[in-house]
Amino acid sequence: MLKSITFILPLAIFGFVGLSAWMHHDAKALAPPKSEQAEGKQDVVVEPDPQVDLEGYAPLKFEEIYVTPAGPKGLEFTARANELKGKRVRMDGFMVKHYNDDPQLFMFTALPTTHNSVEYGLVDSLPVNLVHVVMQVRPGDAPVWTPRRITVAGTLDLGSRQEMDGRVSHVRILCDQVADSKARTVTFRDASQSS
Amino acid sequence: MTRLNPPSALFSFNDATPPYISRFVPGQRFDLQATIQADPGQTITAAVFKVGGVTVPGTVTITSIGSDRFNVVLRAYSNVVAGVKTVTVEATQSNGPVATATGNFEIVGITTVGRKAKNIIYLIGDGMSNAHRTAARIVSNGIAMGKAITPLAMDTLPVTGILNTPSLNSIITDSAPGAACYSVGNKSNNGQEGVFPDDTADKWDNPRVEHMGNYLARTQGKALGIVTTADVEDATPGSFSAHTQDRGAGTGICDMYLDEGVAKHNLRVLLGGGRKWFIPFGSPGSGRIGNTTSNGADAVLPAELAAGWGVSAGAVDPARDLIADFVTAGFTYAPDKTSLIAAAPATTKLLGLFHTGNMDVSLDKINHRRTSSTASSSTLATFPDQPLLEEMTEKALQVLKNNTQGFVLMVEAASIDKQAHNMDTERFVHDTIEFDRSVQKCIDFQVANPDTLIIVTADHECAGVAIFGASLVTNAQLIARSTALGTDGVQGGVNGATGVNSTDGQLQLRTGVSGTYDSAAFPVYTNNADGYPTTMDPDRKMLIGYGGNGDRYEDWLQNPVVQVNPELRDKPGDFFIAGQAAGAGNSSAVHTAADIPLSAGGRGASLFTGTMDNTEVFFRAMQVLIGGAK
Repeated sequence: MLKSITFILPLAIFGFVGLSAWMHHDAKALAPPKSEQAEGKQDVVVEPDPQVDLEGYAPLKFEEIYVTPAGPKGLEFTARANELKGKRVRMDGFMVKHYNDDPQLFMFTALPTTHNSVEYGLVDSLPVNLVHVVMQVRPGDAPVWTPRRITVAGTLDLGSRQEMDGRVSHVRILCDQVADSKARTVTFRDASQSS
Repeated sequence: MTRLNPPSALFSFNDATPPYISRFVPGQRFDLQATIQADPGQTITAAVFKVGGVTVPGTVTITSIGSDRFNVVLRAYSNVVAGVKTVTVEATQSNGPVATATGNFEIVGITTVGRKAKNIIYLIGDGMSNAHRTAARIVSNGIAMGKAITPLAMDTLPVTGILNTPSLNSIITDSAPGAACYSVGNKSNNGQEGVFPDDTADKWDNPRVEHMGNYLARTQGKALGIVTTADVEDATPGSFSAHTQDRGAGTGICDMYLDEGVAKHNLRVLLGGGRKWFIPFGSPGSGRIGNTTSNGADAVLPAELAAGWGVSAGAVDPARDLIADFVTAGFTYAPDKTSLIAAAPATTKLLGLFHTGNMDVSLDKINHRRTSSTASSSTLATFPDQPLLEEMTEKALQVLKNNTQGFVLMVEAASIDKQAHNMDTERFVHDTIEFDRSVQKCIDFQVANPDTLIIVTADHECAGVAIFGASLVTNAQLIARSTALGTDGVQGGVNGATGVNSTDGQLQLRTGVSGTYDSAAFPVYTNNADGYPTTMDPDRKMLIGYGGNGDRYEDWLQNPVVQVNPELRDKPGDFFIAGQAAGAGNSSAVHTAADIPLSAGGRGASLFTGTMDNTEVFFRAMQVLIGGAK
């Protein structure tokens, strides 16, 4: 069953509504996870909402996360990143193309990068200012990779945490809202079909 | 018996004839291991290993691994007598029956002849086969009237061989067994470094094979050096000092560099990226974890293994400050090129970590040096002062030369492979040039230190690289073609064009561009004073295709940004090339089974002729290092 919902989904309102995929602007649907396809669930195509409101989310650029150049040992958060810690931020960037190990998060970078995770595992050439976007949704809602620039809005979470794939994340956005930055057409899974 | 290590065709196929799968030099240590499937409800109560019918002394450890299976292992066996040996395991089940299985291995004799090499330098162009070398030669030195104007440094080495590269479990190797074969002389499964496969989930308990660096440190006092442009925990550097079934276990592999490498292999030089494994968990940029089973795992060895090999058992210590521990062990730490170059000539132990992950590639490093621009790669803003491989190589040689007993040095150009995977032609060719300039540093060293053996090779071929011709147009024309709109004002099917206009890319970027045979002629590149190409985008440039390719768009132009997905970059040109590599990662090219070239020079180089298995390189090198060569 299809139903219309707001283009940008405030998860705080919709609770465990599944956010699984976005649509390419040419309407070429991106496939949901195979396990979900097998269950016969449908994606929900949602039309753009011109009333998108990101007010209250402070813009944060990737290059504003760490002090550059790096020192001789670890990295150092900028004053701006520390100031925004625990607060609502929004960032524009791209999902990293790789084998997605964790159904509840994706890696997010300023440029459309790729990582051959089967070949290289945690050895990578990803940007240092990598951000993990944590989708606070029900288990199994793996975001499907999209080639387009997206906007992510949520709470900035700083600190070291081991993720499911073994990688240590240092910068996370606990995501409230996500959308294609330009086309503003997204695909959600129908929550009524959730198990 | 479902498994008997060392692996043998005798055990697996009841075939006692050559080739012998497992081979060792006299005195080289390795573990004897078997997996035994007991009858339901029964256990294995005793086991002995026999070589040539004689019981091997030592402790045999029996461990239940579930489903009535048992892991049986005897650590650090060695044999000094050359020849083919049978190895038998006899296991007693709790209700009385005794099961046996037999395999074999070979101890390869060493002949005392001529003069020994004091030093050995392995230079590994990861993923580099003939086409990668040819491409570097065309770009770096040029071809005119059918002849190379100047050969590559590696072309000047006098001896050439060809290597077969399959791993123990596939015709297609990855970089772990593809490199470990040069350090341990044996095959392993993909992903494994310095071990044989077993049937346990533990990443650290596999049957081990002694590394060349370990063997020569304890028998000759040689030092070990490891230099790479990758994260130092990556497969090739790890395969010269670590023992694990998981090439991705970065925390443990880097701990092992200090706990075993420095302590037992006389590791004196470690240079590359991967600083994230050396800074404590909790520090921004750290990759260290405490988990021993996850990707990136920390290392904790079984007590019986640690006792058998006389090594540290390790600890779950994600908060370890490994840089500080290296410094405590006497190492000078260099975080950038400036401090690397400044390290005193008398330095005897050197740790250089120039990046949290893989180092930036030479094209971007050189561009940054020329222009101070970081536009091509965001990581150069964070790590702007990274050395080139040739600079790391030169410093490594300076430090290792201070060890009077000689050294084993491995130098890896990692991103020949990584950029070939990404089908980024200009970057993998540029890194091959960087690699060749490092080869020249080693040749210069060998000229001054004749008792040095140089081996230049790879671990496997990557991407099925094929130089199929050259562009028929100027760079300006290529740019125009890559951005031209179709007659409907829309560029190509990917942008919504239909009908004939949907194939704009083929019309614009294949037809009239791809010059083959005579029309390819001789592309002309020039070099700057820094020795690197002035531009990778000259008029009528060399064109490369990929036989092991993933999906990509291609416009033949240098990609302004590194590491961009091949399905996304170059898309405005609308020239889509479908790949053959399947799966979710299908935008990455893959390794191929093609043989790889080897070039050798210096003491004992004459042994390295012919077509051979990759493990044979280890035995010929050990002949030169232990027995000598004419």
